[in-house]
Amino acid sequence: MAKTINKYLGRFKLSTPYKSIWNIIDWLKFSFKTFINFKQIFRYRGETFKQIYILGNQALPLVIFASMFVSMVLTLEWGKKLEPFGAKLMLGRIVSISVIREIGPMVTGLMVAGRTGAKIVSEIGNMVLTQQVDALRAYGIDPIKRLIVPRVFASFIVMAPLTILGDTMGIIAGWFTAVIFSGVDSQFFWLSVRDGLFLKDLIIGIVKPPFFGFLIGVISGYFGYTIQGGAEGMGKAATRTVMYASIGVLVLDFILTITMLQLY
Amino acid sequence: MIEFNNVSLCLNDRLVLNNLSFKMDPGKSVLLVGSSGAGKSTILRLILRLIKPTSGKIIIMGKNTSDISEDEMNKIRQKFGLVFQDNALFDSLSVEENVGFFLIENLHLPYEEVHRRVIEIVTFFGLEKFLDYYPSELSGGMKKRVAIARAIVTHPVILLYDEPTAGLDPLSAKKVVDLIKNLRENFDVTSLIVTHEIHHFVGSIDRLLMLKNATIAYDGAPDISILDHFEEIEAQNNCKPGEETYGNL
Repeated sequence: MAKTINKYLGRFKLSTPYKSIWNIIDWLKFSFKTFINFKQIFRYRGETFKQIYILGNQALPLVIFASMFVSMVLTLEWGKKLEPFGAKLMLGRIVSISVIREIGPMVTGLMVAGRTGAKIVSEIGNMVLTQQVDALRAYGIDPIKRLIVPRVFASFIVMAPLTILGDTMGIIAGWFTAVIFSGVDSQFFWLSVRDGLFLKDLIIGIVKPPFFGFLIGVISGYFGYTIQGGAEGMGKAATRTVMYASIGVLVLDFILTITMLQLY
Repeated sequence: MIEFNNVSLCLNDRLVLNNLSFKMDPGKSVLLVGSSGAGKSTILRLILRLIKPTSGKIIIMGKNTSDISEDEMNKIRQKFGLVFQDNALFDSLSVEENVGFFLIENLHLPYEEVHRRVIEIVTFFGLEKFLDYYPSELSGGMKKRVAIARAIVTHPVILLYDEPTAGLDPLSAKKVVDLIKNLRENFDVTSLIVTHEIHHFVGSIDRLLMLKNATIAYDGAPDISILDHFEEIEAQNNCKPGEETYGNL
């Protein structure tokens, strides 16, 4: 029956869903293999530190820039909405909680998904297409341990510091906007920040980003490692990486938020 | 040393190898020829288990590669040297780093020893002035020499060459062929050379294997008449009337 339908509808239509399911299973196996090999970072510590340095440095300006501007827009919008209620003094609390719990991790995740994800997929993909990965395998080196693990671990580990820096700059940008454009007193802003923030907010804000980093790393690593079809394949892999990593960050953020709200 | 027992391989519903059987003895130099797409490079990938056969046994150094773990296979792989058709040099590493890469990664030698061995081998290959160059700064022939140097520096038991003269001008190709001959004389290494440019290697091999229709059509001494026959097949394959050729571009 399936063969008959296949014959008339064309092979692509029937095989696509099966292929997608197979790809998801394959990606899960790839992610699991990467995770259980995290201990390899000690063996390849030079490569791991190099990747941490490169990924962190490359994503930092983007994360700071994006966090600052999102935070400034948020401050302006809330400043306008709170003004009729005489509640502008709450601005520091609202901005800091929003930035630390949600906007900071989310913006960092999305920026890293674009910047780091594209870097990892193009780097690994190019190595696959030029047989450099085959060369590693041919000489008895596992490319997942040698290439993927250091990059995924770097992506995992840089997320928390990037988020902290993004949050800090975001709150400072919010303060600047509140004082200059919304007319909030500087001292009141910082008092509001201090009174509004609790330890659990900081924990929630710090726990999420490493999960995003791991997800971005394994998605980009997988698409790079399974690349096919030369330059066209590279374009497709890069597009898929940014798309799936961004969607993945949004979905994972939702799941983690639900989980943490249950815990706290 | 290398033994194929009724090995078949299907890739994308196409029968690439059909019940292929052959044996390679230590210290010999074997030339594997066949037209483009005949499955020559695939045999090298099968030997190193970069792909697995659909059926049949591949026995390397007394071990059936289908039955062993990835870690065991990695130990076997470390006894091989493979020269890729497109060299597969690490483009972010210099010549010195490329040649020394597997000495560090697989043999875990100290830096001084790696440097000494790299200098020794690149001098043998006439590349000592290019230690700090990156692959993108080298000519095709030089890249090939670096790739061979990287393959030989770990003192492998078997050297596999995938189209070692492909894409090289006649002078560079001759240099590479002379180098392969020299290596055999100086290092006494077993070699399997995969190529469709037979004429380069005539006179420097012990045995010829010819692939045709997914199986071995000739296995024996490098006979000139066989080579003429092969060239006729090659010419026929390259000049089929009405054949679409853009797919190979």
